[in-house]
Amino acid sequence: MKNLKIKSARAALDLSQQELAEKVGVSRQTINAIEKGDYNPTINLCRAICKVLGKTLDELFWEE
Amino acid sequence: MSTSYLLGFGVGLALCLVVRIFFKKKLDMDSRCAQLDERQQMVNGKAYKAAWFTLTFTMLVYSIITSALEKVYVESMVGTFACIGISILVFAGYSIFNDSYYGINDRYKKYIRFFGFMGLMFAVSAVIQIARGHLFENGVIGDTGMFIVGAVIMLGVVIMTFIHNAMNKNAED
Repeated sequence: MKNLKIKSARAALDLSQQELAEKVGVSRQTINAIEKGDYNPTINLCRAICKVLGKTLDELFWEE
Repeated sequence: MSTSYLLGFGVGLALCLVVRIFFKKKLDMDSRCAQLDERQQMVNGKAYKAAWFTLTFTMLVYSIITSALEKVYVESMVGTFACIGISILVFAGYSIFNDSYYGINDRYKKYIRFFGFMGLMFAVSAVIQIARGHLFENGVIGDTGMFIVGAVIMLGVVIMTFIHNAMNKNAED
């Protein structure tokens, strides 16, 4: 399932996928895969993404 | 296979090992694994698995064919190298099309230059040997086959990279 929350949080900070990837320490393709729902990140990567985007785990990764 | 080729092969392998150890220990360069993120490491593992099964299958098929045929048209070293080459291409293809072959930074251009140069060198050497009529030696594809396999491997990686990049030109967002 696509993760549009990460995409919108990233867009709110005016970050490209490449920029977010560099800040988090992964490849751009990994961020792309997470946003498209093709890859489930580990908890450590989830936390790193939350830290960069200034959101909580629930706000970015919880599925209703 | 001629003694000179075997010697050259052995010396080349030994040199590669020495250079690799030197770069790793003395220059303290990170291993390739450290340059892969978690998703890429997972893809790398799957790629190795696919390559291993491919190598096992191709070697099995090659040994069955060579044992069944009265005359084998390929030297055993060339046939074995071809099986290894196919598994290398499977590994590279899986990794490239799942964006893990070139690491976190995806700096593929310097690798492409190297693979392209090596591939062309192998291809040119193969063409020269074929033009001199050295493809078949005593009715068997001999040392020239090694150049052909080497060229296919190197240029195969380059071609797969170009295809993948063309397919994903506008991948972001």
